[in-house]
Amino acid sequence: METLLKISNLKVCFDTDDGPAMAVDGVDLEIMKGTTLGLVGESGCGKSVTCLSVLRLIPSPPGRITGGEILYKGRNLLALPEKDMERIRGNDISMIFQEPMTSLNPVFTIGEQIKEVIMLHQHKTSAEAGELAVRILDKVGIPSPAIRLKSYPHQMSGGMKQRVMIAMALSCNPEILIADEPTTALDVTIQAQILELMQSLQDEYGMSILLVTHDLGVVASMASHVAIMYASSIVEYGSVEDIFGNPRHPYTLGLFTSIPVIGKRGRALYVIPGNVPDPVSFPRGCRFRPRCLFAAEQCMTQKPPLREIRHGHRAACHFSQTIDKYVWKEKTKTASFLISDEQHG
Amino acid sequence: MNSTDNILLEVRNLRKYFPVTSGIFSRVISSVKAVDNVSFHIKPGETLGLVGESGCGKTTLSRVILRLAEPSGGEVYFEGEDVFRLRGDRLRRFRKNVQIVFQDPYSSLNPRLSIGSIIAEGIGAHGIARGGKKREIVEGLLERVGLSAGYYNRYPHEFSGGQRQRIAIARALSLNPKLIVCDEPVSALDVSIQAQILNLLGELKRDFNLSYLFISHDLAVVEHVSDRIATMYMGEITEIAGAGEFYSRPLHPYTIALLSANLLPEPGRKRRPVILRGDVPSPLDPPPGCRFHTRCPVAEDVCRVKRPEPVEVSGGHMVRCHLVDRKDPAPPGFLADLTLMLHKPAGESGVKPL
Ligand SMILES: Nc1ncnc2c1ncn2[C@@H]1O[C@H](COP(=O)(O)OP(=O)(O)OP(=O)(O)O)[C@@H](O)[C@H]1O
Ligand SMILES: Nc1ncnc2c1ncn2[C@@H]1O[C@H](COP(=O)(O)OP(=O)(O)O)[C@@H](O)[C@H]1O
Ligand code: SF4
Ligand code: SF4
Ligand SMILES: [Mg+2]
Ligand SMILES: [Mg+2]
Repeated sequence: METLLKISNLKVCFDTDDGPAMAVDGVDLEIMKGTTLGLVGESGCGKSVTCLSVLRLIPSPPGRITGGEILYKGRNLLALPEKDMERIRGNDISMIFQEPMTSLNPVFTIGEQIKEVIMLHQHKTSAEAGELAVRILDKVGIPSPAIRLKSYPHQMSGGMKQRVMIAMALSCNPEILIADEPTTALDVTIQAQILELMQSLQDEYGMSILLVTHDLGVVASMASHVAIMYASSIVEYGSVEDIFGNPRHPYTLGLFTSIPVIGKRGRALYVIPGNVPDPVSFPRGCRFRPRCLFAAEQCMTQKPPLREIRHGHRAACHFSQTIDKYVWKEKTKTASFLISDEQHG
Repeated sequence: MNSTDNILLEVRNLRKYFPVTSGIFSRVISSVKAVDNVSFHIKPGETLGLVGESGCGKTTLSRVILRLAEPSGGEVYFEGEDVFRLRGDRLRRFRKNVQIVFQDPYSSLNPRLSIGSIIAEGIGAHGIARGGKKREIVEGLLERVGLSAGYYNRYPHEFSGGQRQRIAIARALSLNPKLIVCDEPVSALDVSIQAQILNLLGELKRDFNLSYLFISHDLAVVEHVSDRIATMYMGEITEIAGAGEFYSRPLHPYTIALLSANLLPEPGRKRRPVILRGDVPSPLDPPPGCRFHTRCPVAEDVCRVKRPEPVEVSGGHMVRCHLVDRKDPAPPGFLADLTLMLHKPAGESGVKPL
């Protein structure tokens, strides 16, 4: 499979009142052509900052990309002049956000907004852009698109606005679509429609998708590869079969056993003790250590690198060679399912 | 009225219509039927889950039950007493017995009060205890929900979302209620925090024989916590069944649509066909006949003109659909096959999850 985008050792820092916060700290990711990479993690772990870095949209100040490389078709996006980067945004790589409500401008009709995007990136007259806009809205399943062009965002439902956002992102046939929690704010029935739309557009145009979500069901149904992010780094990466069938990082295992699954009522949910650490003061050694059932001496001092366990399957844990779902089941049999988030001792 | 011995809460034909006005004289031109002839009951120690898409009336329903909003019609009985007629001491007792936990742990706690005072408020107001005894109770509650008693004098902004939700739960528990209405209590929380709160609610239910009306749009969460589940669409209950039956033998097309849109964390499973097209219609202009007919994949002519009545197909399993036969209940049309498919394990190539 051809690698389209390769992120290596990406580092992003934000200046805060409490000191520098490493929002992204040494992230490595690859996106293959025509496939979907799912990026999973709890809030604040650095998913959105990773996405924004690819487009170089980190607000600065307070943010700064302090290291790493993002290779797209052999060019390092982080080293491109801003003029070239502008051409990449929208033409090659576009992005949709979690909140369709806040990313559309309330004072313009959606027709005006789509046309503006088209005219910015393609040499088209206003009339041509208008025609194209109708065709794209039709493509993303908006009924009576010619009439809908005259609507304002507040006249549309959340699902429709998200379709408009997708329409705008796709208007220039990008090679990569970055979708940051595109369905989190939507009902499941509408989510199903949006995911189906993204899938059919991928099948048709072969675009790659970076799909950010915290919903494991969404990842399982959409992604070919998955990256699990914790405390600003990737802790596990592999094919969707590897990650769901043979997870090897204690955080991944904890996450998978903490969600309710339909058809498994009554199973006690595993509770990952404690809280996500603050990026201004990450624990030394392994960042997951204060919450980990397997933590050992070594974990206090050495940060585990993201290492290959088997072909294409990587995990950042000193003991990933031995920890698997069977070991996990045995271990959590005796672990108390703490309801307390107090750290004793 | 029938025997209410083992019924804690009974809701009968409850309605809440919001008037829609227009023009300078605020003439009432129509109404939004946010809750329309809703009936159900909850037994002591039981959790009823309520699912439905945004705007279907879940919050409005709970507000009317709690007497935070006036009903437009219908009745609510709590321990056999007509809730809308309660006054004085009896009303106070009702307010003590029925508590609520909201979705948003950020806005539901007064930022100017210490968490000790927030939890103690009701205890004082209901004259349950004062002074040192009151403080003792509050500290006990803090510990019961997994927080340190030492947090007594801290303020809400010092806590995370999950911790604030625990504070809200401690406050709800402080009056030793019989029923807690949970309106999307975990929707704003990360999955690991969600697990903490769900486990906590489960423990409290066992320890105090609590009942919950548990509102959520997340089917997996609802199935996890509920003894029985109700689905709601445009102000109406469309199906109620025991949790096991709801999942293994759903009958209403809307229930089946929701179940099939719920994605399991199992790759290799074929993505299910999307069976609901379009959005929920505007509540200002609800469709005639069955409210669901504009999106229902098996709708027939009768559905467009005649409103289906709720029918009990077996003990405690209620469905509101013209095409579900009372004597031989099965999901209508192709939905029968789809329902079977919902529960097939992922195929050979599929991945066996944890
Ligand atoms: N005060 C009000 N005035 C007029 N209409 C209202 C009012 N409150 C709610 N509604 C309407 O009643 C219907 C039900 O709203 P409700 O908030 O109960 O939905 P919900 O099921 O809780 O939705 P969500 O999942 O988004 O919380 C909606 O159409 C809503 O717009
Ligand atoms: N504009 C900003 N200023 C300061 N800190 C920020 C900013 N944006 C993000 N951060 C911090 O970076 C970290 C990662 O955030 P983000 O990528 O948004 O997380 P998520 O995984 O939820 O998308 C968080 O600690 C967040 O507080
Ligand atoms: S390195 Fe140690 S602390 Fe970190 S996840 Fe592995 S076992 Fe746990
Ligand atoms: S009554 Fe008709 S439209 Fe309504 S759910 Fe049943 S089949 Fe569908
Ligand atoms: Mg984010
Ligand atoms: Mg609500």
